[in-house]
Amino acid sequence: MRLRPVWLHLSAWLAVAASAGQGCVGEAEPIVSACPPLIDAEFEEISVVFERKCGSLDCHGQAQRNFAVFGQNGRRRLGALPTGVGGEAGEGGTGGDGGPGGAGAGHRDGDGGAGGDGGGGGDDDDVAPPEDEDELITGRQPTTPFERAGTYQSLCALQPEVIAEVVRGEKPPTELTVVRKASLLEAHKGGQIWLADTPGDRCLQSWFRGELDEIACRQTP
Amino acid sequence: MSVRHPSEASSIVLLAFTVGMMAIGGCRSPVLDEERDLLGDELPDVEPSEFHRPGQPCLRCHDSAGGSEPEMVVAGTIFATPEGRVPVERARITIEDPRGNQVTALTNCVGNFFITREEWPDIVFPLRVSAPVCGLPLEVDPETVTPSPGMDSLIHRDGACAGCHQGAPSATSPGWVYCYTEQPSVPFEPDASCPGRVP
Repeated sequence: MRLRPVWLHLSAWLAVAASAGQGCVGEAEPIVSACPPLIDAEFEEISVVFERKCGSLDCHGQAQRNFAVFGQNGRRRLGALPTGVGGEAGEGGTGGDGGPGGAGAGHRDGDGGAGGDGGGGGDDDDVAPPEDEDELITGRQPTTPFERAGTYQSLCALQPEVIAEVVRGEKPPTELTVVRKASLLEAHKGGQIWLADTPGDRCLQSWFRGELDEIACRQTP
Repeated sequence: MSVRHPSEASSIVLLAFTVGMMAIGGCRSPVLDEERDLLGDELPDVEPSEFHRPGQPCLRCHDSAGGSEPEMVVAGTIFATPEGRVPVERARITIEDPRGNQVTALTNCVGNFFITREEWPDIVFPLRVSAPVCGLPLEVDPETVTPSPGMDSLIHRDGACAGCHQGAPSATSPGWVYCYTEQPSVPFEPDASCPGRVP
């Protein structure tokens, strides 16, 4: 049967309306971040690797990238502290009842554990944003804890549901896009950053497993 | 023979046009198009040549996607100091790829240098770049000037220096590529006979 013109137009409009309506139905629940805890002294090992291998201004130091890396020789991190990180939030946290969880990225100074009481904020003045933002210049001051916290947040926002499974030991870190892209197991516009099972790869994977291999991180060329 | 209703025919033509435009548009990057548009027009007194657009990211046009000839792999502009944008001629830049291959380029009178794809067809990123080596007049004691510290980081993707080195130093840029932290006692000055100029 041949459609009459009026039905052709009507059906097209109906199709558009139906597809537009899809976005309003069945909204997914927000996914809770379940990254390994942010211990600045530990994450610094990871951050140094990311800054050197990924964070230049022509790669993940660009503001347009989903995975943002902040640091001395790349993009500096300015702006307000997001809820859940640092001194203004106590509800974030990295673990409650023995497992990672909490809303947002928590931070602790190393005197607790991932299975602690879940308090993520409190007295973390060291991740506060710089007081004078104009002073922070690419290539000059060393990377700040606030910048490392920004990289951490960005990293943990990539595939949070898979990260949770990796942290719980249900999946290997090689399931993570950030791990796969670096060794080019998955397409990566920046190419191969390191080969699988070389120091950089081992460094990153070890952090997701909660057993940071500092030697591998420091051996990353 | 069936005759289509004019309205139906126009809908089909519109659909075909839209699909065609999407197909053509799919090959272009609106981000790159916008970046090129932001570069603005040529200066009225400077012909498009190796002397045009100092300080702009050359590869936005002179790469395989930009389509302008010659295709370049690395290109930029060297200024005398972080401020002032005085171009420096015959500044030497050495670039090295991970395989140890090195290419050296010299700036022209407007401070521009470039390495073409033809000159370095098998270039591999990331690249390490030396600090620019810039001459000084004989009257100037080299001990009285502080050379540019050069780049600590590598170039991972963008061969256009101005893609990152743009404007005053800030939280998103180390600033222009420069020779010395301040002008020497006999300062660098723009060459009035140069076919190009800094706007």
